[in-house]
Amino acid sequence: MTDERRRYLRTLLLVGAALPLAIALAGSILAIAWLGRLPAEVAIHWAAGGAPDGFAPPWIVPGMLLLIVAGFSAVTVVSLAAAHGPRVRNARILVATASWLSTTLTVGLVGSLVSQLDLADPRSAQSPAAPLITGALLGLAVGALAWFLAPVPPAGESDTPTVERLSLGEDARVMWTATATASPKLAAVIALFGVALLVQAIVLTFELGAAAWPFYLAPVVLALVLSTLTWRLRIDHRGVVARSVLGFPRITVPAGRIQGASVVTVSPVADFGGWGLRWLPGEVGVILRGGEALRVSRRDGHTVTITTHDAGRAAGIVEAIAGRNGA
Amino acid sequence: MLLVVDPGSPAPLFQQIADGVRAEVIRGGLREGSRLPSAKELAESLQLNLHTVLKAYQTLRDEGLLDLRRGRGALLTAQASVLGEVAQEVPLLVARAKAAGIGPAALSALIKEEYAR
Repeated sequence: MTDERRRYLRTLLLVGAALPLAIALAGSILAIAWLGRLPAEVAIHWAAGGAPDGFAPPWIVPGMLLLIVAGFSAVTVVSLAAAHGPRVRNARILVATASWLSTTLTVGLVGSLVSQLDLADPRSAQSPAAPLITGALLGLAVGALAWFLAPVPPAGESDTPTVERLSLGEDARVMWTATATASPKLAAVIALFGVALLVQAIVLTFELGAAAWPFYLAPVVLALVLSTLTWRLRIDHRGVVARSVLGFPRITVPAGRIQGASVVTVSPVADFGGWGLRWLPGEVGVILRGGEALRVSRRDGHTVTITTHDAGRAAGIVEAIAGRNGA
Repeated sequence: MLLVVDPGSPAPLFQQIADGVRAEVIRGGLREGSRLPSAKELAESLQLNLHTVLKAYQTLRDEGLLDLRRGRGALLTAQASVLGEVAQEVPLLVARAKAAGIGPAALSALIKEEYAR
Protein backbone atom coordinates (compact mmCIF):
# COMPACT_ATOMS: atom_id res chain seq x y z
CA MET A 1 0.00 0.00 0.00
CA THR A 2 1.33 3.42 -0.95
CA ASP A 3 1.59 6.32 1.51
CA GLU A 4 -1.00 8.13 -0.54
CA ARG A 5 -3.49 5.28 -0.17
CA ARG A 6 -2.76 5.06 3.57
CA ARG A 7 -3.45 8.80 3.97
CA TYR A 8 -6.66 8.38 1.96
CA LEU A 9 -7.88 5.54 4.17
CA ARG A 10 -7.07 7.51 7.33
CA THR A 11 -9.06 10.54 6.15
CA LEU A 12 -11.87 8.31 4.95
CA LEU A 13 -12.11 6.66 8.37
CA LEU A 14 -12.03 10.06 10.11
CA VAL A 15 -14.59 11.88 7.95
CA GLY A 16 -16.69 8.93 6.76
CA ALA A 17 -16.94 7.02 10.06
CA ALA A 18 -15.38 8.78 13.08
CA LEU A 19 -17.20 12.10 12.54
CA PRO A 20 -20.75 10.68 12.15
CA LEU A 21 -20.12 8.13 14.92
CA ALA A 22 -18.84 10.85 17.31
CA ILE A 23 -22.00 12.90 16.73
CA ALA A 24 -24.27 9.89 17.29
CA LEU A 25 -22.24 8.81 20.33
CA ALA A 26 -22.46 12.25 21.93
CA GLY A 27 -26.23 12.23 21.45
CA SER A 28 -26.52 8.69 22.76
CA ILE A 29 -24.50 9.48 25.91
CA LEU A 30 -26.83 12.41 26.54
CA ALA A 31 -29.90 10.18 26.04
CA ILE A 32 -28.47 7.51 28.37
CA ALA A 33 -27.71 10.14 31.02
CA TRP A 34 -31.38 11.15 30.82
CA LEU A 35 -32.73 7.63 31.30
CA GLY A 36 -33.51 8.30 34.99
CA ARG A 37 -35.54 11.42 34.17
CA LEU A 38 -37.59 9.87 31.34
CA PRO A 39 -40.87 7.95 31.71
CA ALA A 40 -40.72 4.12 31.49
CA GLU A 41 -42.01 4.43 27.96
CA VAL A 42 -41.36 7.43 25.73
CA ALA A 43 -43.22 8.58 22.64
CA ILE A 44 -41.30 7.59 19.52
CA HIS A 45 -43.92 8.19 16.87
CA TRP A 46 -46.45 10.95 16.36
CA ALA A 47 -49.66 10.90 14.33
CA ALA A 48 -50.13 13.48 11.58
CA GLY A 49 -52.02 15.75 14.01
CA GLY A 50 -49.08 15.92 16.44
CA ALA A 51 -50.40 13.54 19.11
CA PRO A 52 -48.05 10.67 20.03
CA ASP A 53 -49.23 7.24 18.87
CA GLY A 54 -46.12 5.05 19.26
CA PHE A 55 -44.29 4.31 22.51
CA ALA A 56 -41.14 2.37 23.46
CA PRO A 57 -38.63 2.11 26.31
CA PRO A 58 -36.29 5.13 26.14
CA TRP A 59 -33.08 3.08 25.56
CA ILE A 60 -34.40 2.29 22.09
CA VAL A 61 -33.53 5.84 21.00
CA PRO A 62 -29.74 5.69 21.54
CA GLY A 63 -29.79 2.01 20.44
CA MET A 64 -31.42 2.71 17.07
CA LEU A 65 -29.34 5.84 16.57
CA LEU A 66 -26.03 4.06 17.07
CA LEU A 67 -27.12 1.05 15.00
CA ILE A 68 -28.20 3.10 11.98
CA VAL A 69 -25.19 5.44 12.05
CA ALA A 70 -22.70 2.61 12.59
CA GLY A 71 -24.27 0.65 9.73
CA PHE A 72 -24.20 3.56 7.33
CA SER A 73 -20.63 4.50 8.29
CA ALA A 74 -19.54 0.89 7.74
CA VAL A 75 -21.12 0.88 4.26
CA THR A 76 -19.42 4.20 3.48
CA VAL A 77 -15.95 3.06 4.48
CA VAL A 78 -16.22 -0.43 2.98
CA SER A 79 -17.53 0.74 -0.37
CA LEU A 80 -14.98 3.55 -0.71
CA ALA A 81 -11.87 1.88 0.73
CA ALA A 82 -10.82 0.50 -2.65
CA ALA A 83 -11.87 3.57 -4.64
CA HIS A 84 -9.32 5.09 -6.93
CA GLY A 85 -9.00 7.76 -9.53
CA PRO A 86 -9.98 11.39 -9.47
CA ARG A 87 -13.70 10.85 -10.07
CA VAL A 88 -14.81 11.66 -6.56
CA ARG A 89 -18.35 12.93 -7.02
CA ASN A 90 -20.07 9.87 -5.64
CA ALA A 91 -17.48 9.33 -2.95
CA ARG A 92 -18.16 12.84 -1.66
CA ILE A 93 -21.92 12.34 -1.73
CA LEU A 94 -21.65 9.16 0.31
CA VAL A 95 -19.27 10.68 2.89
CA ALA A 96 -21.43 13.81 3.21
CA THR A 97 -24.61 11.70 3.55
CA ALA A 98 -23.09 9.75 6.46
CA SER A 99 -22.60 12.97 8.45
CA TRP A 100 -25.93 14.47 7.33
CA LEU A 101 -27.79 11.32 8.41
CA SER A 102 -25.99 11.15 11.75
CA THR A 103 -26.62 14.82 12.62
CA THR A 104 -30.27 14.77 11.50
CA LEU A 105 -31.03 11.61 13.44
CA THR A 106 -29.07 12.61 16.54
CA VAL A 107 -30.66 16.03 16.89
CA GLY A 108 -34.10 14.81 15.81
CA LEU A 109 -34.25 11.66 17.96
CA VAL A 110 -32.44 12.89 21.05
CA GLY A 111 -34.22 16.27 20.71
CA SER A 112 -37.58 14.50 20.78
CA LEU A 113 -36.67 13.31 24.29
CA VAL A 114 -36.06 16.83 25.64
CA SER A 115 -39.76 17.67 25.96
CA GLN A 116 -40.35 14.32 27.65
CA LEU A 117 -37.86 14.91 30.51
CA ASP A 118 -39.55 14.64 33.93
CA LEU A 119 -42.82 13.83 32.13
CA ALA A 120 -45.18 11.46 33.94
CA ASP A 121 -47.24 10.44 30.94
CA PRO A 122 -45.63 10.18 27.49
CA ARG A 123 -49.03 10.64 25.86
CA SER A 124 -48.68 14.38 26.54
CA ALA A 125 -45.30 14.53 24.75
CA GLN A 126 -44.88 17.44 22.35
CA SER A 127 -44.53 16.88 18.62
CA PRO A 128 -40.79 16.71 17.74
CA ALA A 129 -41.15 19.03 14.71
CA ALA A 130 -38.73 21.61 16.10
CA PRO A 131 -35.82 19.20 16.82
CA LEU A 132 -36.42 17.42 13.48
CA ILE A 133 -36.22 20.67 11.50
CA THR A 134 -33.22 21.87 13.53
CA GLY A 135 -31.59 18.48 12.94
CA ALA A 136 -32.17 18.60 9.19
CA LEU A 137 -30.68 22.11 8.95
CA LEU A 138 -27.69 21.27 11.16
CA GLY A 139 -27.33 18.06 9.15
CA LEU A 140 -26.98 20.06 5.94
CA ALA A 141 -24.26 22.19 7.53
CA VAL A 142 -22.31 19.20 8.89
CA GLY A 143 -22.87 17.30 5.62
CA ALA A 144 -21.45 20.24 3.67
CA LEU A 145 -18.42 20.31 5.97
CA ALA A 146 -17.91 16.56 5.40
CA TRP A 147 -18.26 17.12 1.64
CA PHE A 148 -15.29 19.49 1.69
CA LEU A 149 -13.27 17.30 4.04
CA ALA A 150 -13.99 14.12 2.03
CA PRO A 151 -10.72 12.60 0.81
CA VAL A 152 -9.87 12.30 -2.88
CA PRO A 153 -9.17 8.66 -3.76
CA PRO A 154 -5.65 8.26 -5.14
CA ALA A 155 -5.30 7.01 -8.70
CA GLY A 156 -5.06 3.26 -9.07
CA GLU A 157 -1.91 1.81 -10.55
CA SER A 158 -3.77 -0.07 -13.28
CA ASP A 159 -5.97 2.83 -14.32
CA THR A 160 -4.76 3.07 -17.88
CA PRO A 161 -3.08 -0.09 -19.07
CA THR A 162 -2.19 0.34 -22.72
CA VAL A 163 -4.59 -1.31 -25.12
CA GLU A 164 -3.12 -3.29 -27.94
CA ARG A 165 -5.14 -2.83 -31.09
CA LEU A 166 -5.98 -6.27 -32.50
CA SER A 167 -4.26 -6.57 -35.86
CA LEU A 168 -6.68 -7.81 -38.47
CA GLY A 169 -6.13 -8.80 -42.08
CA GLU A 170 -7.82 -6.51 -44.57
CA ASP A 171 -10.73 -8.89 -45.17
CA ALA A 172 -10.78 -10.47 -41.71
CA ARG A 173 -13.99 -10.34 -39.74
CA VAL A 174 -14.13 -10.33 -36.00
CA MET A 175 -16.71 -10.98 -33.35
CA TRP A 176 -16.40 -10.92 -29.57
CA THR A 177 -19.15 -11.95 -27.18
CA ALA A 178 -19.32 -12.23 -23.42
CA THR A 179 -21.86 -12.45 -20.65
CA ALA A 180 -21.29 -9.97 -17.87
CA THR A 181 -22.89 -10.81 -14.53
CA ALA A 182 -23.05 -9.33 -11.07
CA SER A 183 -21.57 -11.30 -8.21
CA PRO A 184 -23.92 -14.10 -7.11
CA LYS A 185 -23.87 -12.59 -3.61
CA LEU A 186 -25.33 -9.28 -4.78
CA ALA A 187 -27.97 -11.08 -6.86
CA ALA A 188 -28.84 -13.32 -3.89
CA VAL A 189 -29.25 -10.34 -1.54
CA ILE A 190 -31.58 -8.59 -4.01
CA ALA A 191 -33.55 -11.80 -4.67
CA LEU A 192 -33.99 -12.45 -0.92
CA PHE A 193 -35.07 -8.86 -0.38
CA GLY A 194 -37.56 -9.17 -3.23
CA VAL A 195 -39.02 -12.41 -1.90
CA ALA A 196 -39.35 -10.90 1.60
CA LEU A 197 -41.17 -7.86 0.19
CA LEU A 198 -43.41 -10.10 -1.92
CA VAL A 199 -44.35 -12.15 1.16
CA GLN A 200 -45.09 -8.92 3.02
CA ALA A 201 -47.30 -7.75 0.13
CA ILE A 202 -49.22 -11.05 0.12
CA VAL A 203 -49.73 -10.96 3.88
CA LEU A 204 -50.96 -7.37 3.62
CA THR A 205 -53.39 -8.36 0.88
CA PHE A 206 -55.10 -10.71 3.35
CA GLU A 207 -55.38 -7.85 5.84
CA LEU A 208 -56.13 -4.89 3.61
CA GLY A 209 -57.54 -6.44 0.44
CA ALA A 210 -57.09 -4.53 -2.80
CA ALA A 211 -55.71 -1.52 -0.89
CA ALA A 212 -52.42 -3.42 -0.53
CA TRP A 213 -51.53 -3.07 -4.23
CA PRO A 214 -48.80 -0.41 -3.75
CA PHE A 215 -46.82 -2.97 -1.75
CA TYR A 216 -46.41 -5.06 -4.91
CA LEU A 217 -44.47 -2.26 -6.61
CA ALA A 218 -41.25 -2.81 -4.68
CA PRO A 219 -40.90 -6.54 -5.50
CA VAL A 220 -41.67 -5.81 -9.17
CA VAL A 221 -38.98 -3.12 -9.23
CA LEU A 222 -36.50 -5.52 -7.60
CA ALA A 223 -37.33 -8.20 -10.21
CA LEU A 224 -36.54 -5.64 -12.93
CA VAL A 225 -33.32 -4.69 -11.13
CA LEU A 226 -32.40 -8.37 -10.98
CA SER A 227 -32.90 -8.67 -14.75
CA THR A 228 -30.37 -5.87 -15.31
CA LEU A 229 -27.65 -7.74 -13.42
CA THR A 230 -26.85 -10.03 -16.36
CA TRP A 231 -25.90 -8.54 -19.72
CA ARG A 232 -24.92 -9.99 -23.06
CA LEU A 233 -22.16 -8.11 -24.82
CA ARG A 234 -21.26 -8.24 -28.48
CA ILE A 235 -18.65 -6.48 -30.54
CA ASP A 236 -18.56 -6.85 -34.32
CA HIS A 237 -18.27 -4.78 -37.51
CA ARG A 238 -21.49 -2.98 -36.57
CA GLY A 239 -20.17 -1.73 -33.26
CA VAL A 240 -20.71 -2.48 -29.58
CA VAL A 241 -24.00 -3.77 -28.15
CA ALA A 242 -24.81 -4.50 -24.52
CA ARG A 243 -28.28 -5.78 -23.70
CA SER A 244 -29.73 -7.10 -20.49
CA VAL A 245 -31.07 -10.66 -20.44
CA LEU A 246 -34.60 -9.44 -21.13
CA GLY A 247 -33.35 -7.65 -24.26
CA PHE A 248 -34.12 -4.29 -22.71
CA PRO A 249 -32.49 -1.99 -21.71
CA ARG A 250 -29.95 -2.03 -24.52
CA ILE A 251 -26.89 0.16 -25.00
CA THR A 252 -25.33 0.44 -28.46
CA VAL A 253 -22.39 2.34 -29.90
CA PRO A 254 -22.42 2.10 -33.73
CA ALA A 255 -19.00 1.43 -35.27
CA GLY A 256 -18.95 4.81 -37.04
CA ARG A 257 -19.29 6.66 -33.73
CA ILE A 258 -16.45 4.91 -31.89
CA GLN A 259 -13.40 7.00 -31.08
CA GLY A 260 -11.47 4.33 -29.19
CA ALA A 261 -11.44 2.00 -26.24
CA SER A 262 -9.56 1.50 -23.01
CA VAL A 263 -9.50 -0.77 -20.02
CA VAL A 264 -10.31 0.85 -16.68
CA THR A 265 -10.66 -0.37 -13.12
CA VAL A 266 -14.08 0.42 -11.73
CA SER A 267 -15.19 0.77 -8.14
CA PRO A 268 -19.01 0.64 -8.47
CA VAL A 269 -20.01 2.92 -5.60
CA ALA A 270 -17.19 5.45 -5.86
CA ASP A 271 -17.23 5.75 -9.66
CA PHE A 272 -20.88 5.23 -10.54
CA GLY A 273 -22.80 5.46 -7.28
CA GLY A 274 -23.84 1.82 -7.33
CA TRP A 275 -24.58 -1.20 -9.48
CA GLY A 276 -26.66 -1.82 -12.58
CA LEU A 277 -27.27 0.55 -15.45
CA ARG A 278 -25.89 3.94 -14.35
CA TRP A 279 -26.06 7.37 -15.94
CA LEU A 280 -23.72 10.25 -15.20
CA PRO A 281 -23.26 13.38 -17.28
CA GLY A 282 -21.52 12.21 -20.46
CA GLU A 283 -21.18 8.66 -19.18
CA VAL A 284 -23.22 5.51 -19.23
CA GLY A 285 -22.15 2.54 -17.13
CA VAL A 286 -23.20 -1.08 -17.13
CA ILE A 287 -21.69 -1.70 -13.70
CA LEU A 288 -22.09 -5.24 -12.44
CA ARG A 289 -19.00 -5.73 -10.28
CA GLY A 290 -15.83 -3.97 -9.25
CA GLY A 291 -12.69 -4.52 -11.26
CA GLU A 292 -11.76 -4.43 -14.92
CA ALA A 293 -14.08 -2.78 -17.38
CA LEU A 294 -14.21 -1.93 -21.06
CA ARG A 295 -14.57 1.80 -21.70
CA VAL A 296 -15.69 2.77 -25.19
CA SER A 297 -15.24 6.45 -26.05
CA ARG A 298 -17.57 7.94 -28.61
CA ARG A 299 -16.55 10.65 -31.03
CA ASP A 300 -18.81 13.13 -29.24
CA GLY A 301 -16.76 12.61 -26.08
CA HIS A 302 -19.30 10.47 -24.26
CA THR A 303 -18.21 7.16 -22.84
CA VAL A 304 -19.81 3.80 -22.21
CA THR A 305 -18.24 1.68 -19.47
CA ILE A 306 -19.07 -2.00 -19.09
CA THR A 307 -17.57 -4.19 -16.37
CA THR A 308 -16.57 -7.48 -17.94
CA HIS A 309 -13.86 -10.12 -17.86
CA ASP A 310 -11.60 -10.20 -20.91
CA ALA A 311 -11.86 -6.38 -21.15
CA GLY A 312 -8.33 -6.15 -22.57
CA ARG A 313 -9.11 -8.21 -25.66
CA ALA A 314 -12.47 -6.49 -26.05
CA ALA A 315 -10.78 -3.08 -26.03
CA GLY A 316 -8.26 -4.30 -28.63
CA ILE A 317 -11.12 -5.34 -30.92
CA VAL A 318 -13.04 -2.10 -30.45
CA GLU A 319 -9.83 -0.23 -31.31
CA ALA A 320 -9.43 -2.32 -34.48
CA ILE A 321 -13.04 -1.64 -35.52
CA ALA A 322 -12.64 2.07 -34.77
CA GLY A 323 -9.48 2.06 -36.89
CA ARG A 324 -11.34 0.56 -39.82
CA ASN A 325 -13.91 3.29 -39.54
CA GLY A 326 -11.24 5.95 -39.66
CA ALA A 327 -10.77 6.73 -35.97
CA MET B 1 -15.48 -15.52 -26.96
CA LEU B 2 -13.37 -14.08 -29.76
CA LEU B 3 -13.81 -15.32 -33.32
CA VAL B 4 -11.78 -14.07 -36.25
CA VAL B 5 -12.40 -15.39 -39.75
CA ASP B 6 -10.48 -14.36 -42.81
CA PRO B 7 -11.92 -15.19 -46.26
CA GLY B 8 -8.40 -14.63 -47.63
CA SER B 9 -6.99 -17.52 -45.60
CA PRO B 10 -6.65 -20.93 -47.27
CA ALA B 11 -8.60 -22.72 -44.49
CA PRO B 12 -12.33 -23.04 -45.19
CA LEU B 13 -14.47 -20.52 -43.28
CA PHE B 14 -16.47 -23.15 -41.37
CA GLN B 15 -13.15 -24.65 -40.25
CA GLN B 16 -11.97 -21.26 -39.04
CA ILE B 17 -15.09 -20.86 -36.91
CA ALA B 18 -14.72 -24.35 -35.41
CA ASP B 19 -11.02 -23.68 -34.73
CA GLY B 20 -11.94 -20.42 -33.05
CA VAL B 21 -14.45 -22.10 -30.73
CA ARG B 22 -11.95 -24.83 -29.85
CA ALA B 23 -9.24 -22.25 -29.17
CA GLU B 24 -11.63 -20.43 -26.84
CA VAL B 25 -12.36 -23.67 -24.96
CA ILE B 26 -8.64 -24.28 -24.53
CA ARG B 27 -8.16 -20.68 -23.37
CA GLY B 28 -10.85 -21.16 -20.74
CA GLY B 29 -13.18 -18.50 -22.17
CA LEU B 30 -15.79 -21.17 -22.91
CA ARG B 31 -16.56 -24.16 -20.74
CA GLU B 32 -19.16 -26.85 -20.24
CA GLY B 33 -22.60 -25.25 -20.28
CA SER B 34 -21.48 -22.07 -22.06
CA ARG B 35 -23.94 -20.96 -24.70
CA LEU B 36 -22.74 -19.99 -28.16
CA PRO B 37 -24.55 -17.23 -30.03
CA SER B 38 -27.28 -18.46 -32.37
CA ALA B 39 -26.08 -19.40 -35.85
CA LYS B 40 -28.07 -16.48 -37.23
CA GLU B 41 -26.42 -13.99 -34.86
CA LEU B 42 -22.97 -15.36 -35.66
CA ALA B 43 -23.63 -15.23 -39.41
CA GLU B 44 -24.73 -11.59 -39.15
CA SER B 45 -21.78 -10.60 -36.97
CA LEU B 46 -19.19 -12.28 -39.20
CA GLN B 47 -21.03 -11.40 -42.44
CA LEU B 48 -21.15 -15.03 -43.45
CA ASN B 49 -23.72 -17.29 -45.03
CA LEU B 50 -25.92 -18.99 -42.42
CA HIS B 51 -25.03 -22.39 -43.92
CA THR B 52 -21.32 -21.77 -43.27
CA VAL B 53 -22.01 -21.20 -39.57
CA LEU B 54 -24.38 -24.18 -39.38
CA LYS B 55 -21.69 -26.35 -40.95
CA ALA B 56 -19.20 -25.17 -38.32
CA TYR B 57 -21.68 -25.93 -35.52
CA GLN B 58 -22.39 -29.37 -37.01
CA THR B 59 -18.63 -30.08 -37.14
CA LEU B 60 -18.35 -29.23 -33.45
CA ARG B 61 -21.40 -31.35 -32.68
CA ASP B 62 -19.87 -34.31 -34.51
CA GLU B 63 -16.78 -33.88 -32.32
CA GLY B 64 -19.04 -34.15 -29.28
CA LEU B 65 -18.17 -30.62 -28.21
CA LEU B 66 -21.51 -28.97 -28.92
CA ASP B 67 -25.09 -29.85 -28.08
CA LEU B 68 -27.48 -28.41 -30.68
CA ARG B 69 -31.11 -28.32 -29.63
CA ARG B 70 -33.95 -26.57 -31.31
CA GLY B 71 -35.07 -23.69 -29.17
CA ARG B 72 -32.28 -24.11 -26.60
CA GLY B 73 -29.40 -22.86 -28.69
CA ALA B 74 -25.90 -24.27 -28.87
CA LEU B 75 -24.48 -25.44 -25.55
CA LEU B 76 -20.98 -26.75 -24.94
CA THR B 77 -20.93 -30.30 -23.61
CA ALA B 78 -18.82 -31.96 -20.92
CA GLN B 79 -16.35 -32.75 -23.69
CA ALA B 80 -15.33 -29.07 -23.47
CA SER B 81 -13.88 -29.66 -19.98
CA VAL B 82 -12.01 -32.73 -21.24
CA LEU B 83 -10.57 -30.77 -24.14
CA GLY B 84 -9.49 -28.04 -21.76
CA GLU B 85 -7.76 -30.54 -19.45
CA VAL B 86 -5.96 -32.28 -22.30
CA ALA B 87 -4.88 -28.89 -23.64
CA GLN B 88 -3.12 -28.15 -20.34
CA GLU B 89 -0.65 -30.91 -21.08
CA VAL B 90 0.28 -29.49 -24.46
CA PRO B 91 2.57 -26.64 -23.31
CA LEU B 92 4.83 -29.14 -21.49
CA LEU B 93 5.14 -31.33 -24.57
CA VAL B 94 5.81 -28.35 -26.83
CA ALA B 95 8.37 -26.94 -24.39
CA ARG B 96 10.25 -30.25 -24.40
CA ALA B 97 10.07 -30.43 -28.20
CA LYS B 98 11.35 -26.84 -28.47
CA ALA B 99 14.21 -27.53 -26.08
CA ALA B 100 15.14 -30.54 -28.18
CA GLY B 101 15.02 -28.48 -31.38
CA ILE B 102 11.93 -30.26 -32.76
CA GLY B 103 9.82 -27.94 -34.92
CA PRO B 104 6.00 -27.76 -35.09
CA ALA B 105 5.79 -29.82 -38.30
CA ALA B 106 7.85 -32.65 -36.83
CA LEU B 107 5.89 -32.62 -33.56
CA SER B 108 2.54 -32.70 -35.41
CA ALA B 109 3.83 -35.60 -37.45
CA LEU B 110 4.74 -37.43 -34.23
CA ILE B 111 1.26 -36.80 -32.82
CA LYS B 112 -0.43 -37.98 -36.00
CA GLU B 113 1.72 -41.10 -36.03
CA GLU B 114 0.72 -41.84 -32.45
CA TYR B 115 -2.96 -41.50 -33.40
CA ALA B 116 -2.51 -43.92 -36.30
CA ARG B 117 -1.12 -46.67 -34.10
